[in-house]
Amino acid sequence: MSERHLLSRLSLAKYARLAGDPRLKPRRLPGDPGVWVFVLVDLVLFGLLFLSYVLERSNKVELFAQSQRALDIELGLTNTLVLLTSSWLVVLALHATKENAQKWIPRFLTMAALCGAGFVAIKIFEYVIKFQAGISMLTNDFFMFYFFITFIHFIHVVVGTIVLSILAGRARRGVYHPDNVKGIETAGVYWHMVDLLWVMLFPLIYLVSGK
Amino acid sequence: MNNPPTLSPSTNFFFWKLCAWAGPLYLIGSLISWALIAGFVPPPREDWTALQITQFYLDNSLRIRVGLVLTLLFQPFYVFLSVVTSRVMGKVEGRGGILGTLELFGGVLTWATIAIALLCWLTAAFRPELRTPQEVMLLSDLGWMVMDAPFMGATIQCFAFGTLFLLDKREKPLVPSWVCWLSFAIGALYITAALIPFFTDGPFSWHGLITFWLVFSMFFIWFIPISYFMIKAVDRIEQEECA
Repeated sequence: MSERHLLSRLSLAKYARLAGDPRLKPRRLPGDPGVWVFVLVDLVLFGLLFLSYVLERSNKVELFAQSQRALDIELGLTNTLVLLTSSWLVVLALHATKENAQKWIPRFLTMAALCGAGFVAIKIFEYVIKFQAGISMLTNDFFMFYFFITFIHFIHVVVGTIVLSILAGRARRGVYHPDNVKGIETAGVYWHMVDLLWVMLFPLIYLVSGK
Repeated sequence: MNNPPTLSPSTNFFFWKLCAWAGPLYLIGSLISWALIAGFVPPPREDWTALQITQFYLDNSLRIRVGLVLTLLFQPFYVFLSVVTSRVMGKVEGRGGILGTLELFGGVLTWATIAIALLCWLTAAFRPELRTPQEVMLLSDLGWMVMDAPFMGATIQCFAFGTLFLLDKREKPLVPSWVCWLSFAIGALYITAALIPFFTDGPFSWHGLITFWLVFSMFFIWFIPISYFMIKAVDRIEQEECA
């Protein structure tokens, strides 16, 4: 094993490049670099929301634990799986684009968008169950956080689903190919962030009881 | 019959530049007069009783009046910046484009709501000693509701701005994409302002961590890149057109 190869295997990309490994391209942020600014601000917002939730819960541990029991863990878990699958499908669409597998790009993107729509449907169902049980945002502080945080996230999923549908339509017209992956990458960055937020939100609000 | 404009392009663009420079002036002027002179940072709290609110306006009556009158003087600068932004957007989408028009109307809407909110507080600070605490509280509440609840004007601006400049096909776009994405994030953040009628304490009250500190800092921070890139964009458009 040559030194050059070893260095790249160790992911010491910088040294490998210095050693002249031609296979290593300079590292770059995936997607439109600007989208990372959006991700940063959004994560700060959700970070503050989660922090406020935890602080508020520390004052009312009993109330929060009791209210939390009214949530549907099964529906939340289903949505976690739906969203993770959707994220994976976007990754597959990106791979398909890089391999120029034209038939598969719109298929994966459509499936990813359908998963997004599935999440939206399940979430609406969950909200309706809550409203029918007489639970609303004004019931108590726990449900205020539950409805608000999940609703902000819900809007993110709706936007993402629309974006993925548009991308699927464009992919069908052959817009994306190995030299034009930026659109899918940018949408992917956004979609993974939405996924990541749910993966943090679900345990924090549905599972952790603080007792 | 269309007569050609009689103003020289350089005079014309001089006014564009004045409008673009209104951005930093708005930022500095509003911060000094509203935050420092009127003393609204940190703001009077949403969970105060009518007596505490009245005391706030009684104790600070003069400085609030001076501060808010000055803040009101700076408010049209928001419209100036919106006008020049909408005209720069017109250079990308063509005159009479929809997104530039939305930017302008969003700006007028935002200016109007902010001005009405300031007028409510100004009225509260005007002879509070002759009013009942409930009346002072009403004016104070009304001011905050008008300031925060109609956030959609500013959200529309953020989204119109971000969408259009992301679609700018120039070799070097007039506005870099990170500013567009920042606009989306800030526009989305404003939605949290819809929560202030439901809480008197905590992060979503009008003095709260999210609806005050985060939303208002982002509102002001947004002016820095917008003004900077509008000033640069006007220079570039002038060079392109006068070349």
